[in-house]
Amino acid sequence: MGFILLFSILIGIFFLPYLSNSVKPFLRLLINLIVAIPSFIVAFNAVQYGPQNIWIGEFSITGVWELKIDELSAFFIAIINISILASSVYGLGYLKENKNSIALSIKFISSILLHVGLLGVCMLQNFIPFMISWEVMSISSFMLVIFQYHKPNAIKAGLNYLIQMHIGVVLLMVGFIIVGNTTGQSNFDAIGLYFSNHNNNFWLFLVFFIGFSFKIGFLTLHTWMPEAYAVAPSNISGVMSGVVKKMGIYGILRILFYVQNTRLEIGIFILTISLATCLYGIINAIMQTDIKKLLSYSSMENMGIIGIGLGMAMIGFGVHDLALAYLGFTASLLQILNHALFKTSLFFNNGGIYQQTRTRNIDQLGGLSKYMPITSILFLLSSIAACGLPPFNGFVAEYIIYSGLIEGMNATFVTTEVFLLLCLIILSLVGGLAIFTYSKVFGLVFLGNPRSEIITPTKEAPLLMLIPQIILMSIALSIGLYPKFILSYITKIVDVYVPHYSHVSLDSYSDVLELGHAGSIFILIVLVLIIVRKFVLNKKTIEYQVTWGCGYETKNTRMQYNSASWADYFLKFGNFFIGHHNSFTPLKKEDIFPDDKKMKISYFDKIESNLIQPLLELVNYTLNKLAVIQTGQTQYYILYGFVFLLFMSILTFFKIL
Amino acid sequence: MINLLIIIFTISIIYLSVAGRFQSFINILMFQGIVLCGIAMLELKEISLANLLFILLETLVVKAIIVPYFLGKLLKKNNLTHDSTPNIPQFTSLIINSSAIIFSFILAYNLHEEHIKITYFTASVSAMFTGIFLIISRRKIITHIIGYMVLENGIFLLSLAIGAELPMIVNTGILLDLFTSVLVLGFFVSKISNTFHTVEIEKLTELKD
Amino acid sequence: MINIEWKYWIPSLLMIIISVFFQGIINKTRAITSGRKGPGLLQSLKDVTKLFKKGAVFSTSSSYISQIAPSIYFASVLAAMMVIPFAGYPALLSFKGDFIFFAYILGIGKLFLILGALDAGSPFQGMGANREALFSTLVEPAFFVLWGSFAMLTGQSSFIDIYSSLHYGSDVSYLLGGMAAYILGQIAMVENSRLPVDDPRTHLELTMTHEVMILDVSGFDLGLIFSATALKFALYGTLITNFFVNPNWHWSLSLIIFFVCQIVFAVSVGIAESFRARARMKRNPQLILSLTSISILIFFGALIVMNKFL
Repeated sequence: MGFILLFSILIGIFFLPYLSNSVKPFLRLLINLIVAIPSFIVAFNAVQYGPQNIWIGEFSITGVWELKIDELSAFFIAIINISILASSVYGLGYLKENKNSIALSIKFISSILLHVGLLGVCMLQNFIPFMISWEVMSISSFMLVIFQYHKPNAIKAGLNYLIQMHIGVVLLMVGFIIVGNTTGQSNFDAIGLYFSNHNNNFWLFLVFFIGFSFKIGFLTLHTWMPEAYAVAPSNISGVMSGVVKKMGIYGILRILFYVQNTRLEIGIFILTISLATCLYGIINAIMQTDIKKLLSYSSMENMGIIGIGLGMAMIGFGVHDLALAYLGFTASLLQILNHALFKTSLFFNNGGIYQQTRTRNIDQLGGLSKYMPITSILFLLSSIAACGLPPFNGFVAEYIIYSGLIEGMNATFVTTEVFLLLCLIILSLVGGLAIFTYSKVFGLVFLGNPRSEIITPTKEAPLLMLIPQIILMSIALSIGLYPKFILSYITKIVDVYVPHYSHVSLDSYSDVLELGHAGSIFILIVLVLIIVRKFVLNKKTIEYQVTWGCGYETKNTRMQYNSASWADYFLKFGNFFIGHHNSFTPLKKEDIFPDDKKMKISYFDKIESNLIQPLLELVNYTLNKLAVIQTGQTQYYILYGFVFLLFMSILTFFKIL
Repeated sequence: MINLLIIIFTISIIYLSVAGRFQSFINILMFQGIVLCGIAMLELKEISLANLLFILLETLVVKAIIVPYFLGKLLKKNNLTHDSTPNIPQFTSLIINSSAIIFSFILAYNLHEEHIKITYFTASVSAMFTGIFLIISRRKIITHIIGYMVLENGIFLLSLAIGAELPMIVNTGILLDLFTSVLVLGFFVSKISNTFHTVEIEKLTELKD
Repeated sequence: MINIEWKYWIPSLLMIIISVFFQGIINKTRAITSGRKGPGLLQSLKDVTKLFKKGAVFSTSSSYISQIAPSIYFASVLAAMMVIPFAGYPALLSFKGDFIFFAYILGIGKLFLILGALDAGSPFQGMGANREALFSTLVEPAFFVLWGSFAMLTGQSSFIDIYSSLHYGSDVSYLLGGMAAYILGQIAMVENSRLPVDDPRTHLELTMTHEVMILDVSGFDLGLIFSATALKFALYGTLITNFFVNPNWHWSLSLIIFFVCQIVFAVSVGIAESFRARARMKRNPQLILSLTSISILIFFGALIVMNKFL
């Protein structure tokens, strides 16, 4: 069965380049379906009946390949399949006018490989196969990022992504080698063996954590993200943000499963990093003028929320408060799913806007809701979900996190309580700032009047691009209104982590069912009010007039609030986190007849410019100094070889080597 | 009751970091003096009459009446109302001061020192921090004096925390307090403002060399 | 599921009744302090009914958001009202962590109010929307820390359970009640854009916050927004009142205290507004954030009451 699958994928990849451009996306969708359906069925079995061993084989070079799906893998496989299938359907409508056949073939092959790689990462249990699969995933996503290679920055952003991923890979390799050498085994269970034999689990965990964090984009390791998401095609950004990033979380979850001691320290570490990531991400999201960069900073915030859940869980283990651990894991897993749903949808949505207007700059858009009503409604719904507001799914996860925090504050030690208090403060602040961010992007892009002429010929995005968003958002809404269903599956995964004997259940600390009811009642009230309003206004006179400009008659559309002015008041006191250049020189007292003034504000990532850039310059400087030995003359190279031999023999002579 | 007063004392510290007018600074100082008097009364129950009077004099008379009175006079003399140009925005200093409260709590909790009560320690360390921070972040010299006074209040509170065991420490703390108050009021302000006709710290750089 | 027995409706009904008079009491107090006679207590009700009867004018730049935003704002306040209990009478909806729902459902109302303001494409409304969004963002942590502390203190996580298991034993707990009342009062002022963050009587668009957002709203929709504002005051007033009511008291005593507390709240809002000036825009963020700092002290106070602090 597996071989038939593999065979069909290979045949597909082989024939894809020879087909005409219009058939290619359909073949890709077909292959995705062929991969997705069986993996989904096995995943479902794994959740229902426990871990499923699929296949074990051995090769001379790579060692044992063990394909196994447990509850955690099953969860991620489901998310991967939903997101990839949505992306493929979306791809049928997107990029139609692109005629470059080779580029398209590479894109479709890469996206198939990405799908396979993602599934492989979730299933493979041995180190070397895992790393191979991880590489397939990284490189294929790199190929997808640089798909629009003719754009400025595309190659640079792609290389940045590739290099940072490989620093992560090095760290992961180091971790795996340490484990492999000490225990002599090469599957994930060996990590558990290592951890149980060592008193301090923190350092090895740190190696893995940083390695996986490159993918997730926790604070200071996020710098590849905004650029890479901005240059990638929208369906790819959606998948990358929704799924590829989550593989880092998957890795961390795997490692966390085996951690035996120093759990409190690990928990506090993850919590601190996640809080910082959360706050930094959302504050930088407010500043962005590029919708995709805004969305990518916002996904940084969501990664932070997921991390908060994990941190809470580990603190819960550390202080033996299993309820906290339970709620933390549940919220974290739910948020992984939520983020995959709404962020994928938001990126897809942005693709539709870009296809129509050819710009992603908020300051050039405006008033799109009149031209693209369905797109705007979908964006509105996804942003409500992304803000974590009821009645959507994001709220359920935040609600469980809050319940966990309150439970933890009841039960744990005082120092931990203070940490949880900090978490409460930052989480609520971030929730508010998310509303601030998404009201900005929705309000400026879809409402008001167009800020430039680009908009005028705009029409609604093609149906094929809207359907995936509608499906994703209806899943999101159904999770929000009836969270019980999905949580019954998620709690099965959590039960693996939190032992059964603890008798912890979700219902004893939260009322998710009531939450759904409350959401439904809210929707009901809204509907009733809207109907009443319609009924009342039917008999009244309704006029349409120009917006009241407070007495000013010659308004133009450039006078609307724009991205910079929206961020300005916040910038006044939040500038600690935000780098910005302002080229405006204020009027002096001598300027009696002032000239035309221009103002240009640009924002940059403070961490990138203050931490990463100096580091890179340092590396560059050192390497330049080292380049002295590269003379280009053969004699010198022979001399180097000779010096090396001499050196080695001296070392051997003194028995150092 | 003591805890209640300590919480009120800490609230006054938070108010200090958002206040901008000198008059509100002085009101806070006065208020803190009264609160500290209450705390001292309640804490040092078994104490001789002379000591009691001494403490009463220090907290109520010096901290709550004399120092604010002279500072108020100083303000009138120099026509000062606002410290309008802080080095660090007030928003940031509010966040820093609030974090200082949390931090000093964690510190107090992890000290595991039997003689020091956590509530006292938290309030006094955060008061000391706020005082120092006020001195760092503001430019006007009168704010610096207020910063010193708040610092003193913190030290006084800390001395009360161990005062039950060692009453002498309280007295020493009070003497230090009195000394600083007199020094600050008498020498520092009137001299400088008379000589330079200014209370901006920037102008003090003329004193160098 | 929603409880539809008659006694579950009592808190909501009380809030609706007091919200009718709330604005009237504030205005009356303000008039008396400035030596005027002032409008009657029911003036705001008359205003709203008049607005409900009027037709509507929409901006030509507006889209469907303008049509739905006021309704959603009002619905969010109604939904928030449904989770607030009063003195032993449970709310229509009561579940663990309902205060989280309360804050977030008001958040969605706020989101739509902001979007409604941006919909007309006016520079002034954008300004107001921006400020309102920021202020309500900054006030959020205070609310959560406050309720988180009380949840920690009582070991419960829904409004009704927190209130009914809140026992005033030591002096610190009285202080906590007082501080909570103060913070909730201030949150109500910020959420409704009253003094000191915003002055509803000001008539310069550049300094307005809430009023400027609804410049292009008229008729039925404006009536909805006014009612929502009045109702919001009543919600926060009830949250405050609950701190001073013991669930075991006789219903008549609770009722009297309810009205007394609400009237005192309204009068103190009126008095504060008569004698206080609006803070400068630059100072607003730190004023709002200082509420969070005070609620952190409530957290520590709760630790003291629980004897965890010593």
